[in-house]
Amino acid sequence: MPLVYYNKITHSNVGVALHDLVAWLLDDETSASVTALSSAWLTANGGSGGAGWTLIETFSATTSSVREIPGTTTGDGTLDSLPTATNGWRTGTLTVGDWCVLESLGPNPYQLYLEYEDDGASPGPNSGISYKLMPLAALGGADDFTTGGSVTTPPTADFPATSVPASGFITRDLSASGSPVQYAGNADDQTINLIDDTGTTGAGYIYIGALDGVNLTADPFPYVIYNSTSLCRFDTSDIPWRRLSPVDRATVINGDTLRWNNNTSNQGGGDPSQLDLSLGTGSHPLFPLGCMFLASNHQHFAGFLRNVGGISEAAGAKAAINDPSDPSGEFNFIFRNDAGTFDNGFGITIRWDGVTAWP
Amino acid sequence: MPFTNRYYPKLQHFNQNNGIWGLVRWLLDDQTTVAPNGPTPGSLSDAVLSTSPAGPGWKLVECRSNGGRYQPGSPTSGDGTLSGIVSTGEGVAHNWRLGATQAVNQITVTGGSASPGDTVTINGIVLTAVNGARTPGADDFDVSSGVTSTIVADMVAAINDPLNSFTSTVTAVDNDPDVELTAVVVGPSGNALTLATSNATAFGLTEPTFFGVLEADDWIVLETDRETALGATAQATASITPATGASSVTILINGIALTGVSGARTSGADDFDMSLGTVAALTAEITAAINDGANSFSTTVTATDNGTNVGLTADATNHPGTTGNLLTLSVTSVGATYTVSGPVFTGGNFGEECQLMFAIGAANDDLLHLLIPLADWTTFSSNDPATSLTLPTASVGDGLATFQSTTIPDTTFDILAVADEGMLALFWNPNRTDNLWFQYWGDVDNPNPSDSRPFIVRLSGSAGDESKIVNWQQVSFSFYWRRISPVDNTTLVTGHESTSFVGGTFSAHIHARGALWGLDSRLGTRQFFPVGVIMATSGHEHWAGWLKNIYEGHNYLGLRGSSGARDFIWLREGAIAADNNSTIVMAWDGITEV
Repeated sequence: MPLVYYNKITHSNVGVALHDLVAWLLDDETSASVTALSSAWLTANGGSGGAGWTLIETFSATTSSVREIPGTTTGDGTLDSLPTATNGWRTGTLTVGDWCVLESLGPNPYQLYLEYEDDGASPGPNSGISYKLMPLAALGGADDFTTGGSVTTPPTADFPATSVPASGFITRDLSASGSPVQYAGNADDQTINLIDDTGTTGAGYIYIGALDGVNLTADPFPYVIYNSTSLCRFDTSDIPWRRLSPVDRATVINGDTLRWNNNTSNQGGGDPSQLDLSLGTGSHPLFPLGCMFLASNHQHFAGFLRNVGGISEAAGAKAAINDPSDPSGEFNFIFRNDAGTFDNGFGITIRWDGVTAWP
Repeated sequence: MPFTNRYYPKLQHFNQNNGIWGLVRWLLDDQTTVAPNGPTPGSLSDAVLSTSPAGPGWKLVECRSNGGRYQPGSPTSGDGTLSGIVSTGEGVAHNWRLGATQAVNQITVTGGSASPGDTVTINGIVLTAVNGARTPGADDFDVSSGVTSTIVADMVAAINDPLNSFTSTVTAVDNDPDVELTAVVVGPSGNALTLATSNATAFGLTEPTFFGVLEADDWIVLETDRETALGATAQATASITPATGASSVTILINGIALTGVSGARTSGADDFDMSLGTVAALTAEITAAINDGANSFSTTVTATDNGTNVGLTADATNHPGTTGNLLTLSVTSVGATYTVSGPVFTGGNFGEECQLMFAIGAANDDLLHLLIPLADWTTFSSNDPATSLTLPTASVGDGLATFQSTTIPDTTFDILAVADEGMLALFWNPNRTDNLWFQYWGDVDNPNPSDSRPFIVRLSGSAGDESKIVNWQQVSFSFYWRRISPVDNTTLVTGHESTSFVGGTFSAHIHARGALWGLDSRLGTRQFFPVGVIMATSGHEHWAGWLKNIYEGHNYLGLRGSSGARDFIWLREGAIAADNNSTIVMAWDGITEV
């Protein structure tokens, strides 16, 4: 499917943002709460639309706790099809602790849990989103999320044992509760790239989903999730990738970002004088990046990240790289790097719509 | 149109000179020329070499052998092929035309002119004509019949008679009226054999010395054919279509405003008279304003009045080739509708070629090679037999305008190569453990858009060092890559291969770490990674691009092998070990074993 973009949209708080992100992943452009928000991703507003994933189940603590699946009649699968009118996922007003489970597209779809959370700090908790990946959901049975369970948050008993992470969640605390938050990203049938930038608590990044260049016979569930939510760069000191091992489909393993050295010191970033400055401003190459897992007895190269690459720190903290002359859109990117100094690593560079200004 | 891969699938060659000939024939995709000689005696008319696999179709620029040089002239039958080579005074003697493994020569007999006592001397051994049956062991032949075909047959029998003195020097074949001679020795030393006669009327000699094997000071210059894949180099273009009756017009050419005014334009004010009453007048006016040197557009575009619109062409100096496609164009108008061809210029292209020179070194077993990235080889203006050459200033070998030399054993060997219209990569001697080497010349993928000539060369070792580096080097100081800097098209810059590595503190390549023995074996998979090249010379640093058709693989793949579908092959020199050097992988033809 074509790539869709969450084209730099700011919301008043994390709860509003999460609701809109889910609507985007569902490509739900008709539900009342979605149209009311009138985000830039909507095709009615000239956006690319959403990814078209499937809504599995929601939990909303609003008014009275309800846990429900979308309807099967008119409006099937949309947020409006949730039976209870006061369900926060239907109204667009989420409460901390509300969660939903989505399912990707593709031949072996995975499931993704997203929860509106805060860190409970007092005073001034930070709000954020918690993620949990269920990579073997296509197998059903004990490997997918169990719907219809007790009304609770989080639904710990309903996660399969093969979830990633095995226990707990990957959480990105975004901003002081109630503060605006901005997201930019892309998605397709099986991947999500999201950069968040509140302007106050720094920037963050998450990647969820499939890889390219995978031998699907040997590894039919090549799904990874990025765990370094405190950094918005691919750092050489970081081991940010998590997946369920394809060797035993039981062990959660950690992985490195596979990158290419781009200066004489075999570093991923390094001295800016090394890189293409002689060929003009902004002449920095974009590098493919992969996931490499080194856990003993589980070593493998998992594949290449999709719709994201790396750029030298010398390119700066944030910018757009848009080439309007290229009809393929292959050269439209935005990048973000929160390093501040020239550490060992790459700036995160995701495919972009070539139109929306960034930053 | 994308580049098309071609494969040179391990055709065996009998010495390095013949190997070069075969490689050149393939690069030219010369399907018509046939090589005359293999290790067994043949004739000039024999087609021993099987039909060559399709090559990438490079072009012949110039070549030299036997004291003469050849350039493809006006299109004629066979022009540009090796068999089409003719040069003044050389006839069939041009070594590039023949590509022989053993030197050849020819005696054309006119029987009626032959007399007893006539001699033909083959490398100092005299063959004497007699009036009657020849005597085995006497080095003679019968001319008594006066019949050409009979005399030819007897000469051949005499030369091939083991009781005579010739069989360790030459063999002969009857091709009435010719006696075709082939040196017994393989290689260029056979070119030194002499041929003489006391009666040139009866025994016409092709050459006083044997010929056909490439030898010292023979050279050839080839040129890539990127234009076929990429299109010709062209400047980006756009257009503006004006309309009469506008009350306000602003044309933005790459952000520079050309403003409509009512009345005569002012030179230097970046304006034009929008009140003119016809479209033709408006196009002329806009063209004049854009081309006015006092205005602000001269370093960006030039304009052409097409009568109904204004054609814009990106400036070749400041916005060459594909960089011109980044120029923007827009217009706002009130009262009349002005239009533009699009938001950006289009059609800018770099289809530059590079040249590659091969030469046989003085020692006959040295292959010399030189990348000529500016494609500025100057062909000779006369039939100059001079062996000293003036190499292009910006050519790249061991240094600027300096060949790199590689020794190739003068025995049977193989070549494995992949090429397309813009590059050549090859393994020599893939089945040997010595003199195995890898080379790459030509363009790369995804260079910087402003790099119109992304042509690089990998040396087989350090300058002047013939050690063969047939693996990827993880050590950052192995500067085996060279090119002319895209910054100034003058400076020789060096660089190293850029391969993938796992995070951590300068850890060795993922495939080289001993702890990763059995990498991916549990999944039964192997990965091949792209290889980039980074140039590190101060002031010229840049990422050159990704190698084409060449990849990196696990050094535990073994010294040589191929993927299951033979769509990749790999070779490596040195022991298989958990060291920092990984294996060179080449895209392959899906058929041939290594």
